[in-house]
Amino acid sequence: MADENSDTQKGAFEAKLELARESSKRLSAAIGEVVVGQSEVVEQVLWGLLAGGHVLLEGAPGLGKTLLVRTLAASLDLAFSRIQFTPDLMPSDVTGTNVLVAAADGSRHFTLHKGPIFGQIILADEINRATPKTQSALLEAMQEHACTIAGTRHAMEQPFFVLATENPIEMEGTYPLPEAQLDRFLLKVLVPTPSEDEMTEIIARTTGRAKGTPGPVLNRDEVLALQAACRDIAIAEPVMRYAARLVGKSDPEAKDPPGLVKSAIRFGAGVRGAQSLVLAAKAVSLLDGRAHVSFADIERVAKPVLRHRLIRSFEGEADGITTDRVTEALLAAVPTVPEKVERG
Amino acid sequence: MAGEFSSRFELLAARVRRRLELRTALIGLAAGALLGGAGAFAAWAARMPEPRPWIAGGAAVLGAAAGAWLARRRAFDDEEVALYLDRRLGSDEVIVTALSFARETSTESAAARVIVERATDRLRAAEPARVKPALFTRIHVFLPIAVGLAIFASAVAPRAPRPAPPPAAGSEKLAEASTPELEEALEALESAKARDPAQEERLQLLRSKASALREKLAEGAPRREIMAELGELTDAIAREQLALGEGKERRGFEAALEQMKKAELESARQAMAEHDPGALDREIARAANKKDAEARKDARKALDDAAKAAKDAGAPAVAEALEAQAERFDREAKKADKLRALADALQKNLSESAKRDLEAFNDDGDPEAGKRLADALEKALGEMSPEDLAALEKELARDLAKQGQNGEPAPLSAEQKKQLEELMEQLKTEAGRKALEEAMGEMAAGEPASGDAQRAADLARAAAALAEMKQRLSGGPSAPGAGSGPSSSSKPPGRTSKIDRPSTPTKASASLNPGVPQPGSSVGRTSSRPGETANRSGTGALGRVGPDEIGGVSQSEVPDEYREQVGRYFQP
Repeated sequence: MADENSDTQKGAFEAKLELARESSKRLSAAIGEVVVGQSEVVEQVLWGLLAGGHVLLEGAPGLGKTLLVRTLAASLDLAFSRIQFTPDLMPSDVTGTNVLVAAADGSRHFTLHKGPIFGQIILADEINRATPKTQSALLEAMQEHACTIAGTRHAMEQPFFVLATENPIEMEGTYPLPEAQLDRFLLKVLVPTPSEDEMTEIIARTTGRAKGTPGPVLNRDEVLALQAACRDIAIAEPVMRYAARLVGKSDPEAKDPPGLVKSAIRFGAGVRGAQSLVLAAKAVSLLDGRAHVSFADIERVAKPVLRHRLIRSFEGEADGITTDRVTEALLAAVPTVPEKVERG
Repeated sequence: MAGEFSSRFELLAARVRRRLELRTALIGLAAGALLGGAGAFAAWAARMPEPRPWIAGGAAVLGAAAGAWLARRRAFDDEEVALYLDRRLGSDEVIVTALSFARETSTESAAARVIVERATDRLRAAEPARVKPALFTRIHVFLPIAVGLAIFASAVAPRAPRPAPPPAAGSEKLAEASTPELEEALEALESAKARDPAQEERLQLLRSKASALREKLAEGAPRREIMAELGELTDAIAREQLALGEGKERRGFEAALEQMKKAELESARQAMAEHDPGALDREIARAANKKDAEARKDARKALDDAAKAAKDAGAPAVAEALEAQAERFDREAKKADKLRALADALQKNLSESAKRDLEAFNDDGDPEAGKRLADALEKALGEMSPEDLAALEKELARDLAKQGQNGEPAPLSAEQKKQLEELMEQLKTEAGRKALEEAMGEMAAGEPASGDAQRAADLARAAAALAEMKQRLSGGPSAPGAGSGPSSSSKPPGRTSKIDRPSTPTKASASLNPGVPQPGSSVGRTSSRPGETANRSGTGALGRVGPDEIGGVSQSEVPDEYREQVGRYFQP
């Protein structure tokens, strides 16, 4: 009986793996019908979704960030909210507020008027345009998946997935996200400028008759099941140690850090960085249909995970050294396996 | 499934570990063989044939053992094997992940089962050839080379043993049970009488050194050492020969010489200046034998003045020697008067040669002529008949009676007159005549040499004997300045002939033969001959002069490093 039970569980888990792989394909295909190119961005957004984290999208205006998020929300059959961050946006505009409502019998009472944060896929558009006070309204919801309004804590409906976009161009009236808030994003995804072919395709698609949005590919339960399966993905100790070594070596005060870390980094990634590496790597392996994390998964997610967690020094910024370059240096400097295994 | 995974994993892990251990051991073997080969070649170069195979084999075995020990010490644990297998199979760390689940049998999650199953599939499908680590790596290229080197170094024909180096010149042992030259030198030193206690002490030291050398020679010692001590002894004797008037007495010596600047004593002064006591004796005798009474008186006075000057100038030894010569002068003068008187009386009985001796004696006071004359007179006295004696007495009486008359020969001095009277008295009796004959015999034998002369003669005899010994032992000229030409048997070896001239220049003006070094001297180069190089250390002329040169510096007060340099130059 026990064997039968375990075989059933194993079959269910393998089904989840298969579902994840199929879903990934289908989601990519569905989004690809609307969004031209950006397959890597789509993939990384899915890592964030499955890992239960939030994603910060950074790219120049007009690269399809909002379209991507809207399409993803439509494909997942989840409640979508969009918050356009502006300098005069108030926290209550994000979270919602209690309003005085008159009942039919003439009595009056406060009723919660939920803000856009009470969605399942939240698009925080141009998040760096709002004041830090308003930005911080997102903090509790992102970390705790709950929001406290007028002393009452309101849980978010699962899955809760925040996708924030920000403009990399420094402009007046923008407020850079503080490190504490940046750290709450699992990934920071760079949205690249489309190639000529992609641009041509975009022009062709958007200047003709508008097409309908794709239908849902995954429903809420399936997403939750995949998120649970992601947590079940196994990781061997050497792989975890590799993630820990990567993060450890990103600290310029660590023993024998790579030269670039020493010269260009003021603060390295912290414990959340290591956790995020493993979580994101688990999502990668899940989407790949594997039940375990490999060194390659860690390496694959290193850039989007560490990109916003490595704080550059003045020298690093002055020399134009990007955090991606530092991550590449880290990956090159930290061996995955002991040297003797490498030689063997 | 976990069981199958574990068994398959253990099987592969064992293979991997064995293979890796063997590989490391082979690296150790290569390193050991390389070292062993080098060691064997070193032994070959050092002409040690026997230990070569042991060195090569031992180092190879040790290297292999060290490699095995290192391999065992650095053996892969399970996790490392799993990582290795993942890399070889490209299985994205499924095996190492499954390994962690296989260890924790209690957690049988669905994911674990999936992972273990997939890992088992991977292991099942793994081809052994693909999984096993390469036994040989690039470094193993050295293995056959090293082993070949070790075998070759062990098997190559051994080098011929190095020829024994020729013994350094002068290092050979010299042993002589009896050395006649040294015995003679020792005898001469024993017979030499010291002038004063200080000299006696020095002479005693010389005797003991000579005795020690004799004993050392009897026991046997390196030629170089013997020659050095011989040279030291010779030098010490030479210093003793020149001891009179040296050091503190130098001023008195010079003052005495100044006082002797008289015509009658010029030759004696020269002999004294040259530190030749024998010649001094002869010249003093010559001055005392002079017929001219005034000249003798002047000479005698000059001797007294010289002794006084020496004493005044703080040279008591020189003064003592001159006083002894003054006494000797008196004795010689007395004998000369007696001889001359008897010779005049017996002139008719003398042979022609005796007459020539008398003439020479009267002219120059030649002591040798005097001796021969005394000898002739002794014979004449012995052969005289009673008639001859009576005639002689008459002759003497007439001579004595003639004195003081006008037109006769110069009057005799009181001393001469006394001598003549004594002579007449002696001739009257048989006993007197006998005594006169004996006196003539003594005069023929000559006045015994002075103490200085005797000492000088003894020292010269000792020096000559040592020089002869040195020449014999070294097989060449014995000392600087020693004559290398044929020497007569009467002349001691190593002595040059006397220069027949009244004085010698103070500065030598003789030119050396170009290209021929003086015997026994070192000028930093040596003569060469065809087929021989002077630079071949320890051979040829360098080898011959080496012992002397080394002996010379070993007894001198030069720094040790200079001695070593000289030693290395002559006898490397």
